[in-house]
Amino acid sequence: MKILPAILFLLAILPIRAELKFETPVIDVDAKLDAATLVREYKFTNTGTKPIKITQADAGCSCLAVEVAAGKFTYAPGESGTLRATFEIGNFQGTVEKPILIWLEGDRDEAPSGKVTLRVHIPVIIALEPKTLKWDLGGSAEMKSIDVKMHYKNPIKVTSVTTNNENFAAKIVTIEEGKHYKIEVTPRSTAAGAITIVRIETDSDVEKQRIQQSFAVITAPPKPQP
Amino acid sequence: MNALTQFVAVGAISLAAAGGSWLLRKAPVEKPAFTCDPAKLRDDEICLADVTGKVLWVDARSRSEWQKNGLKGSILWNMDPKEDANLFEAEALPHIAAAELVVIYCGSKKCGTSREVAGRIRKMDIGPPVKVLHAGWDAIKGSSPAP
Repeated sequence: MKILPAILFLLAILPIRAELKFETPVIDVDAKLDAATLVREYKFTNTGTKPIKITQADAGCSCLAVEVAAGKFTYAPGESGTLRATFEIGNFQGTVEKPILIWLEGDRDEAPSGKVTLRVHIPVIIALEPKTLKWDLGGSAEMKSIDVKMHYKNPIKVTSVTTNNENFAAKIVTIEEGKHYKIEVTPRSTAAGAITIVRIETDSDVEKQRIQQSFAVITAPPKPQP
Repeated sequence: MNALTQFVAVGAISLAAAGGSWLLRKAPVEKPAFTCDPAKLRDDEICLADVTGKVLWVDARSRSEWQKNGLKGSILWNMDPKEDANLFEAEALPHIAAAELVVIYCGSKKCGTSREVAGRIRKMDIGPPVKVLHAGWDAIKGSSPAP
């Protein structure tokens, strides 16, 4: 009769584990230029010793919706399921990395049991460098330029450049037609603070990247740190 | 020791072990009143109490939420794909240039949109430091009076 108490004792001291294991916790995706959304699935298994209940999955961005496939939230030990992430590409460009946190029943707010990552690479077909040109207040009103490089299968021409402040003049310099340009911006004066948008129009057939903008700013130079 | 005594003893040990396990793994958490501990902030975050000076508030929630109760003087900048990102930049430019500090708030503690918008504003490289309000709208809602 001493076996029963021993079993009960062992059961009591055995750790009860709830574990969520993802097959591929980080998914890299190359988005197509014309894609509006993309969907990826994360397969998981309850590798613990007790049932789990998914109470929340949150990507912390209105751009990324996360749902448990088939609306099934409870999984027995050994059972598998799928988490589906739908990313709205919208106006994102470049590499966007979004962590998705998963809470199980009993998790504290600051300690979710699971984390997966969606890393999306969205082509940047028109690259500007720098984003903002700066002049010191009262400094030299010299010309500065924005480098414009095209990274696309077809040539993309810069068709116009404008500023919305008369104190700044901007012109297009072609380095290689359809591939590489410079936008030269010159302030007429740096006597007063000023800002402008430098609007760069292209003939790109990718509508959402057709118009680009940079900025030009005349500000007081940063104060020296003590 | 008879069987009943053994059973009671084992039960007591089991309960103690289970209780210990429960305390370790899932201690009941009293929901505290909203607080912001500067020591626990991420590098790019700021507590509401520390927001002073000439601040530009950037509302990273939806347009309808901003229109409903956005902070006075705030500008809208979110990641809604239906919005015009170029327009957000253009409209924000003079406000950012005139501010000493830019603080972005989102709809909840977990909302990462603020961080995304903060990255875009920093990339503009206009000048003022850019911070994300710790706990976002929850912090504002819990403050009295509202900033």
